[in-house]
Amino acid sequence: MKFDIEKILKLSMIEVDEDEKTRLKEEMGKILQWISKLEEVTIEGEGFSFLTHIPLRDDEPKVSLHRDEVISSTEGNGVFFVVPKVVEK
Amino acid sequence: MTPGELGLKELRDLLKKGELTCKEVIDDFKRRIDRFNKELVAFITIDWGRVYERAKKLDTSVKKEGAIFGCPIAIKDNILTKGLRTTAGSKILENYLPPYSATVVERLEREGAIIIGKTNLDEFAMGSSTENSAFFPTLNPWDKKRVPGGSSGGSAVAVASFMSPCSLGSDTGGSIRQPASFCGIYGLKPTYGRVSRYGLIAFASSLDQIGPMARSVEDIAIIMNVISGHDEKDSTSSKNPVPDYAREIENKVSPFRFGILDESEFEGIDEEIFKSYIDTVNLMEKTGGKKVKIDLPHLKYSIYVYYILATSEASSNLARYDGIRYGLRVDKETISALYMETRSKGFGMEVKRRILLGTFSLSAGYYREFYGKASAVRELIKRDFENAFREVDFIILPTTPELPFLLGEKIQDPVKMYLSDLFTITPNLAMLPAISIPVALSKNKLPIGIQIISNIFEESNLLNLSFLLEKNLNFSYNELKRRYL
Repeated sequence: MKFDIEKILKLSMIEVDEDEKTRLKEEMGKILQWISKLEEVTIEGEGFSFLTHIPLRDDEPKVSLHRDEVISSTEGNGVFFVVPKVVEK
Repeated sequence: MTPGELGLKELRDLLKKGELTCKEVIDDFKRRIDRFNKELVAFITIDWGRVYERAKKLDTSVKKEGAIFGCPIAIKDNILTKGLRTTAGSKILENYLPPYSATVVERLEREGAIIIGKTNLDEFAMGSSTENSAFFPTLNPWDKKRVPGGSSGGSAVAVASFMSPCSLGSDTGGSIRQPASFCGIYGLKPTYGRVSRYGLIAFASSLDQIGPMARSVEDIAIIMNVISGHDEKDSTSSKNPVPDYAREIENKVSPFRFGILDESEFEGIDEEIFKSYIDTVNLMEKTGGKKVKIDLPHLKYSIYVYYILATSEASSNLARYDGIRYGLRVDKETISALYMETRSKGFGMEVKRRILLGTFSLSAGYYREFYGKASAVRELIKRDFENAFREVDFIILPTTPELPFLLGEKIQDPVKMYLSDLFTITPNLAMLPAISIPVALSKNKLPIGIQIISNIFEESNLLNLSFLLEKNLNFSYNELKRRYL
């Protein structure tokens, strides 16, 4: 097992400086070694079962949050959320 | 007798009879908070204007109604309060004003509660000492050189130091029970689904649960009456009927069977905690319990399972903090640089560590080996408990393997810190309710907590037994009263 710190940082959308990177790499190695104890267990069957029991509700419109209240604590023009440009060429 | 030392029932009854006003109650708590919050720093945010406005509204209401009319309650700062800053202990939400309240907050207010303030926590509830708060560490009121536990450290300290009669915490792997134990109070993690998570800032959604913290079992039961029950805004909340916990704690405890583990499971734990554990086992036998040795063969794997699953879910849940919609934004030329900078500046080290571990566990090539395996072992742990609860009504364990540790003692060693959760994480994995009860003080006057676990949705029996133990244990708050009341 190889912990590729560069790849995981990129997937996580997190940047750290070189010192932190060295430290994190070492810590992750220790944590993963600690967790590898799990290899002892032999598994038959599937994963955890509770997620199969979530009840569904009827698809009916209901009163939701009020627009003005939602907008009030954000940057905006009082009608829409205003966000930085998220689409790039 | 000051309002500060009263239980919720007495406080409510005096307020309803008009023998006390909400303003007088708040004045009393404010006096203590002004004096002691500077040193213990349990609260991140208190808006006194808002608190007094609420008190005035209740004092002038014609009908003084509600199960906790006029009672102050402190709320962990990862539970949303409309219009009142909610930070999750993180820089990334430092100025976040929620546009809505969590269902639990709405229910508390509907029953007359006064939200007194928002309490400190490890950032995004990730930690066992409250030292991971982005703002400041909270100190243990029994010994200010020591941590109060975490992640609900602020909520535990507010209650232990009489700055609030009760509080709400959240518990993903012990975050209510471990600080309750470290601060000498009661803390209940309810069954998964018993209490709505709507408005709880998500850490690990299949493990998170909100629960009460207080200085008596009765107060725990009163809060459970208010916050429990189905909520259509949380599809994982249960439709199981909610019993009257506060009434049922008074019932005579019928003869019960309780499970103990082989002593080899407790290797390396603090001697004084082990002694208190044995004393509590003996007390349970004296109060009508029959001791049964049980085996939970996969218990020893639970901490590894937990740290894979909790971090995997966290890495997904925390993907929403991208600097676009709300929270901190660090402006940059490109969108990916904006994401990177915002998250790198906004998250603390422990949060980054957990996001990385979770991202790794879920990444291509490792998913089956890590997340998949942990998820399968979680099922085995759950089955171990199902088998055990065919033979017993309760299982007893220490809450923590050690006494409250010194500030700074473990913060540099994540694995050591993670081991604080050794006994508390299994109920989360198996979705079971569990309570920490203060049972004794160590030689150095540090509190010791014992944990009792019951089968799912058996909170009523769990509180019923806890109430009986409370009466027999006589855990004393005199020392804390002398210092803080």
